[in-house]
Amino acid sequence: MVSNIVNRTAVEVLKLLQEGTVSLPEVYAACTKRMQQVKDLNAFITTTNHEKGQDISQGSLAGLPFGVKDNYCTKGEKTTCASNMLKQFVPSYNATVVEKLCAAGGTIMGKTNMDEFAMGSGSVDSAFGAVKSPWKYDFGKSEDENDWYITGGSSGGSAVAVATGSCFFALGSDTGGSVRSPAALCGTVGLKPTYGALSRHGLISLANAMDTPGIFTRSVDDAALFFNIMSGHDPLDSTSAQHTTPNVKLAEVEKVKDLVIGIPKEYHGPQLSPEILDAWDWMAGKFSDAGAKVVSVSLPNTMHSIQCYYILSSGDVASNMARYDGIEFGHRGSGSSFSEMLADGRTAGFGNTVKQRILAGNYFLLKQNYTKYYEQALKIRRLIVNDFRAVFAGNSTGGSGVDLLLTPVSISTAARYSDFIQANNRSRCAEHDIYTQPANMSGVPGISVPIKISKEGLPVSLQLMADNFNEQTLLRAAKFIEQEVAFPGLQLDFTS
Amino acid sequence: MLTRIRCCTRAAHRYLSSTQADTFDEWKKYADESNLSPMIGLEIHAQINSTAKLFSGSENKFMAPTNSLVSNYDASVPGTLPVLNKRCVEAAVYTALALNCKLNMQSQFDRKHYFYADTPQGYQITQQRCPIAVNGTFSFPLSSGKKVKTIHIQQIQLEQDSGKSLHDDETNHTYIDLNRANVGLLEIVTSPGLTGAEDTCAFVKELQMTLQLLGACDGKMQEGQLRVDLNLSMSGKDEKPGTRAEVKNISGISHLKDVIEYEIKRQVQILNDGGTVEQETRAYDSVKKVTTSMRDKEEAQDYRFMPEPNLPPLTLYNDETAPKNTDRNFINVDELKRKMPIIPGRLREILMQRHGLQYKQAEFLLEKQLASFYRDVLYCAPDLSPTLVYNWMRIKLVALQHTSGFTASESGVTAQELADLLTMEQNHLINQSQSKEAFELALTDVRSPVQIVKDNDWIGIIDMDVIRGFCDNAIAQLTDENPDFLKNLNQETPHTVIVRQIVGLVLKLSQGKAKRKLVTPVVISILKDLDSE
Repeated sequence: MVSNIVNRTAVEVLKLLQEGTVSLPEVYAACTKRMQQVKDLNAFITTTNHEKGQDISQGSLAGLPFGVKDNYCTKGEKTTCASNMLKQFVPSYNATVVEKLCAAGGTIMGKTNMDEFAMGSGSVDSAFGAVKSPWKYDFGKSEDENDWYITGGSSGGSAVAVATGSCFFALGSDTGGSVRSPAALCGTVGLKPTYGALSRHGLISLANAMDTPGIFTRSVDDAALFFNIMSGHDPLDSTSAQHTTPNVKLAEVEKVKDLVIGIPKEYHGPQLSPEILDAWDWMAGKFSDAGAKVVSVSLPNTMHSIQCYYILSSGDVASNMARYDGIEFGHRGSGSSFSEMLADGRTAGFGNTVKQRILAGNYFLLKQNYTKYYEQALKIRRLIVNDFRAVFAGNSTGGSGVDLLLTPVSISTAARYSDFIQANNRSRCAEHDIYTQPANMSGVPGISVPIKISKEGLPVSLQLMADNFNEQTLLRAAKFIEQEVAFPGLQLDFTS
Repeated sequence: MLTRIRCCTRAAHRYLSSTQADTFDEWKKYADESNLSPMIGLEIHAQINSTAKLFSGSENKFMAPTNSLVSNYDASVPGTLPVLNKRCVEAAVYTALALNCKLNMQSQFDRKHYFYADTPQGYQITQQRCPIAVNGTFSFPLSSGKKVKTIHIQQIQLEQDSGKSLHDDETNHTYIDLNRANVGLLEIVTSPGLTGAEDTCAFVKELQMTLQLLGACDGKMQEGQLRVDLNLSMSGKDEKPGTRAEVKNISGISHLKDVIEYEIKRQVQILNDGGTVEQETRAYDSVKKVTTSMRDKEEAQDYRFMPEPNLPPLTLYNDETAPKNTDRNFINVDELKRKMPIIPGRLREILMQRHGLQYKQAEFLLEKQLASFYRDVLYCAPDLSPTLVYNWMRIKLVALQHTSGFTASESGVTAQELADLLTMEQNHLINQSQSKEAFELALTDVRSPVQIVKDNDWIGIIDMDVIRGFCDNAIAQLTDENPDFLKNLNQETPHTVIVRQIVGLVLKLSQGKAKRKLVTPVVISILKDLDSE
């Protein structure tokens, strides 16, 4: 029996399984045990029957267990979006990315907790209770006694599942930073691919033009492995890229001397914590030391991005939530007319954050406001896209000619829950999504990579962004960082 | 504007105060005398004739068991996404070409939000901001073809149909049938250039035939495949239009006529009483033949339109821009132009000018959806008599259509095959009932009708000497049986009973192989010769 299976990367475990050093039942047993040990963190809404995985060691993933954020449809398994509105929803189909992972031999370990309908940046606004960060969590104490840290959101459950070793990788969804932010705060790798590289079919919509399936892993090699399995055109998603995305191939040791790294000056905010700023400077220096060219670049419309993101995503939310009438699944309202029943069901079925965004979105979409807000936001979104185009375009075409952007992921490390809930969801998001949502506004791929552990004992991470469909370069540089920093990862000790 | 209309109505008021108006014609007269004229614009919803729905693969069929044609997408199951059906776009392009519209080579879809029990998404996907086609013109005949009117088409848009609500008043329950949800619709919007029941009904009829010929829509109004929303206002001569009332979901040409007459009467009456017409949506009660206010839209509804984010812009291509060396599904407008069926206006022209049909005859074929088949048959066999083909279709084919419910294109018999069959009839190789029977058999047979004729050995004798021989034998036999048989022969014209008797026997003796049309003149000439001897 190999020790510490749950601390290994997916690539490592696959190798052990292949060699026969470890058996699949041992892997399940280790993951299941870990799930039990960290149960208080509330990472899973539904856990599936792990025994069934014993027979399905076929395919390149050889039965490897993974977590699925509870906003991906899973055939025959409840898919709640952490909302009372969908608490009884059992889809009859698998989301395309889930289907691809299962076809490759992956086994679903469970459905992970999240902010309701993925609206939030803390994973605290769930109908099934908040997700807690494993970092500095005292498993000896009761839940109430813990002054625990938040995971970031909205895919907090998936981040915790991967960080703790409850499974080897997990699906998240990233609309404004919902994969990269919890990955950063929980110390895992979090990849948000290019919009359109992975199919959205079966991912329950938040903001359709920005929703991107993403992956939590313990290494960059793992991220490349799962990205390659899931990418490709899907006829069931009209916005999925028509061309085939080439597979990402990573070398044993990644060198970066051919790369130009851009440091966007607009990302230096007064709110940025000194420790993250230091890590950012330090990493830029590492790139420079390794022969990469590090240059300062400008994305001038960044400052408007978060407001526009808020307007556009609220509009989509208001529209996408219109189908939840409380008739087909989940909370059913009562009343003597269709309208009454609908009003009652929606009032009780949705949490406050969801209701606030529906209200805001409908306000922006009103005839008298559409041009003033929504259309204006669409125009600024175009400018933001142009900023990114210009930065990645070659010098010959007037661009900055950078291959990658290096930025923070969040303004600070994880906050304590007690501090976090002082502000409302809306202003928390405005603060937390500031560095992540521009990638969603422009569609470019981004990745969060852990760098070090802060003085407080929490993960500090940085973000890389690349041009559309350039996951190859993105992951190469991410692997370089990984090798430079040798991040220790979360070490949980349940022996005492 | 309001004051102007009041001025206009004063005349009507004076007139009416001394008269009791009752019939529509009387009201029409008052309206005319007070310079009030109706302005009518239509929004027509045509269900696209496609096997699959607009954004999902589920089947599109009328009268299927409730909720049996519902995919996850049609039921708005979370996580599902729309995928545009190419066939529906083709139908829209054909329609746009027939209606002389400007095609938007890139159009967009929008979401129109409203909560309704049979709209499970909470919105309808439509084309509001940039529809597939705009700015067209469409001409249609009036007064039995003596006049032609042209109307301006504002736009054509692709959109989803809704499901159906079925109310049970006894239990106060509403049941939802989603079979119709997400069926493709073409919404065709006209300018308010129509002026009454005659031109409005003529327009809808011509549009219906056009959509049928294009294969864009089956056009069966009773099945809801073609539904008309009517906007009607009264305006003073050369003045701005008055406030309009909208009557929704009119599903029949005769209903359309009733609605227009009722609305004109209603609005003139209101204006005459010094009132103002309310801007509102009304429903038509086809039993009472009245329109009633729907009263559910007292406040103007804000549909909160937004671009549909799950669908990229719909791009059309032409020969120049079409992507090369790709198997991608795309629509080449030039290719559709080349495949474009002939529209009724042109077809009517061909039938009347080239084949010499009367307006009414052409109209009959168009209405029965036989016009292109007729033209094709004559194209295949130019020597065929247009009248023979017309009569054959009018009597035989329509009867067959009625009993077996097929349309010409579904019959499986090609124009060439029917042309060959009718050529046999014209040349007296078979008779009328044989041609009908052969055609009828061919509907359920892989063989062509001509092959069926041959296999059944129905081809008749056309050698006139042989026929004459049969006639002589028949006369001999009949005279043997009754020596006085020929005595009743009229001096001037042979008695028809005698002729019929002889012909009947000839047919019998030849076992049906001698055809009545060939035998009769021979018999007549023999009798004439006998007579003159």
